Amino acid sequence: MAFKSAYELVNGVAKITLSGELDAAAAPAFRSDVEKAVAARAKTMALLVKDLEYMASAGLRVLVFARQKMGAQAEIYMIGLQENVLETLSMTGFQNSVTFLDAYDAAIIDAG
Amino acid sequence: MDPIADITAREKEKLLVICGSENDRCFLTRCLDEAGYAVVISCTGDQGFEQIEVHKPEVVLLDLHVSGLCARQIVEKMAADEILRIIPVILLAGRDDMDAVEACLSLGADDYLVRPYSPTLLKAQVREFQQIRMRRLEQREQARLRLREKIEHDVEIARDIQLSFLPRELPKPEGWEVAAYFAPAREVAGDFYDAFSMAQGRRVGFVIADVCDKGVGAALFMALTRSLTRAFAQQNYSLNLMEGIGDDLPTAATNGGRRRKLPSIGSMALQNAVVLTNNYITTNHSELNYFATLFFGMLDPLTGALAYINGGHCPPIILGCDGEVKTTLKATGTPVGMLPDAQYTIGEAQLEPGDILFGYSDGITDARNPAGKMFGEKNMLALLQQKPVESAQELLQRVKTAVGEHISTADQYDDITMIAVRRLE
Repeated sequence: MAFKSAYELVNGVAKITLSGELDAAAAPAFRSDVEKAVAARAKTMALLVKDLEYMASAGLRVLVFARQKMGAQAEIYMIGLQENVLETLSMTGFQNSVTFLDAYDAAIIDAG
Repeated sequence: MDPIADITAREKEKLLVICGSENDRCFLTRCLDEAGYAVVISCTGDQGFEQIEVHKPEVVLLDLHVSGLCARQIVEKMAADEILRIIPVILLAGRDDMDAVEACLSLGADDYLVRPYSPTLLKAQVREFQQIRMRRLEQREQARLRLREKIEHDVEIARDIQLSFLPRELPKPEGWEVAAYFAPAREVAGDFYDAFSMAQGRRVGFVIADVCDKGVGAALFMALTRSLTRAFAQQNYSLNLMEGIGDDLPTAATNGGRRRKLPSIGSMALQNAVVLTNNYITTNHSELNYFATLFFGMLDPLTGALAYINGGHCPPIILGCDGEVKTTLKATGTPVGMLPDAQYTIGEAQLEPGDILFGYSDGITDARNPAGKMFGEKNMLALLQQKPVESAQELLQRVKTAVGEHISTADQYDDITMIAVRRLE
């Protein structure tokens, strides 16, 4: 499936919906949305990834960029992550830098 | 095919007249028709721009006073479009329109005619601008060719850099067979492997690593990471005169969760090579956001003891002489260059006679066939355990053949890197 990244800022939470395969060619689109979140000084990022089928290291690089630019205090949530993508993240240990949720929980996310 | 070049092949050259005045439209059409052109007419600016996009004429004759989308906006939109900007625009103006003419010329229009229009001047200008259009087309083609050549040249340079950072020779400790295989991707990426003597010949270090993302940046980062790792690993031993003395020895985690001190020879070098490389990169190059998954194994060739650090890399596998997977060497830390002050612990393993240590990069498991299906980890494990091998080289050949058959006519998307270290029986 072709990659899509959609950005919106709601109540200070940067929501980015990712779908398809996040490979090296697709990564710049994701990065561009992360840059919007950084420019908006969002303290919380919610990545809606239930339709994200694959993430290459280029995608992980954008996540690292997000974590670095938003700062250690910022919360990054990954919502509905598929098993194989979770495995990719777990192999690198990056899973400790984000919070995983099965579904969007406004009580948790918006409170941050 | 280039949409402009395509229409050059047509028989009657097409011109577009965008004009609000019916008298002018009739006059221009008659003139240009007599000269053998096919003339498309538009009465408004909106319609005119649509027709430009549809017909992509040789030349556009644009009335400054057209209604709807104004002349200035049409010129701007054409100039902003990669394909349309090649089409010459001749403005149709009155004597009092010089300010508007100047404005449109500065935005990208090419020339102008002033009422009353001279048929001779009109035809001459149209002919001249047809030539100009052809030249613009040729120039654009040449620019594209030059850019393509430059990109290919840059890729070649990056690939040469990448290859020059792979070891020219593999170490050959007695009682062991070492083999490696590297196939670069179509677009330059950042895998590397390395193998070198450590601790004054008493240990052999093996590294296999994968820099994130692709392109010249990844290749350069690969060169940096490989150099730092090797330099810190080889330099560290001789500088550290206190190694083996005192409490600050590296420790290993065992399955029981207790920590015990490791034999000192080389362990400090192993730990520091990864820690110092990670610290250097995160301190000095964090803006680039590059990182490398990296496995560094340090072998004692006399005993077969392997101490290792795995920074987020796909876990190397130890196969027994019966061909079965004995163990996988999972991550003991995060990728190098990802997190500042990251902690790395040292894992331990043992290679018995007949065992093979197999390290690989995800260019194998993620390799796609023409239908887009990945080779996958299950396939790879099944392949490794198909039957026992006689040699490390044979194992690499087996995997190389299977992956090659899987990829078939598809592009090789990522670097494929493998290293195999076998203890002779």
